[in-house]
Amino acid sequence: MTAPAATAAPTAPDAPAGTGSRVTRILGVISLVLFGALVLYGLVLSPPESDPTPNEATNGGQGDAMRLIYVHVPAASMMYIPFILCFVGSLFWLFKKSVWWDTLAGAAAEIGVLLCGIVLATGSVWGRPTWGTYWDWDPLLTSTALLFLMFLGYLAIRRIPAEPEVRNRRAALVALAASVNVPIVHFAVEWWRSLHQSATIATFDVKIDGLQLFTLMLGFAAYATMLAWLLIHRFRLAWLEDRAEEEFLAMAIAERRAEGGVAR
Amino acid sequence: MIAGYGFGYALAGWGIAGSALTIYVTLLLQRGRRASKRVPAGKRRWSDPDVPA
Repeated sequence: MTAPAATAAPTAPDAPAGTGSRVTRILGVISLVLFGALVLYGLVLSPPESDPTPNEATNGGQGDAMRLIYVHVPAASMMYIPFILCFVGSLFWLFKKSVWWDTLAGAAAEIGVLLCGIVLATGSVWGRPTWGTYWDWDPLLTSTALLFLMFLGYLAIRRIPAEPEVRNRRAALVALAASVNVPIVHFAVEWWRSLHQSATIATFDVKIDGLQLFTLMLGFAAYATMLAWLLIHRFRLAWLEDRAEEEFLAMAIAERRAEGGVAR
Repeated sequence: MIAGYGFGYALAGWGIAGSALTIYVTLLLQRGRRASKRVPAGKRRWSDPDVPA
């Protein structure tokens, strides 16, 4: 809903002009520096994967296609955080009925969908040179696609016009149902036979080393700071949009009362 | 660095991830500025867990 220009709120010199603050600016700069370093190490300095037993299809390991690990794996790991936050926010909303928790759930879900989309897209591009196909109805891939669609549906449900409490309850229940898929995605490669490889970095079993491991860690750090930045900004945006809607409604009601000559 | 097998795929994947993040961040900042203009300065607080539904 867009308020007419005449209803624009007055500004104060010390009021924030957006969703940024000192903390988010620091986070943003750190994130940009880390992503810059990630591009340098991920695409230039880190070596491609070589295979001691090269085969005809790959001409020796995954080669440079392996560089996709630095954007795909950190995104896949980090996408769980917003989905878990959405679950927690929805659960707390049902118990506490506080707008704060619902706002957190909605903001986190959008970031989760973004990261999940990136995971699906980069994974698909990676699948072509390594598996010979962009897509396969593998348990991990299928459950991840379902997770993406379920939370996309959750975001759509949040946009259906309704009383705030009805909308929030509906959204919270859908989020709880969709969250069941999160552990399924995480354990899919262990529970079923999968085309997808198992975790590159498990607690005691690291399968890469040297500069490649450093670059992957850099990817995790870059994505983590960016995720924090995104979550803070998205939460603040949702909070502001709710307040803007309240302001708009209050103003519209006041105008109608004035038109009808009803005393306040 | 000499681009070897799969470098095109790597670039495509990096391009998708980078573009998606850049577009989303840009839209997020724009929406934040627009929403701020519609809320009175005194109400631009972002974290009040006790506001009831």
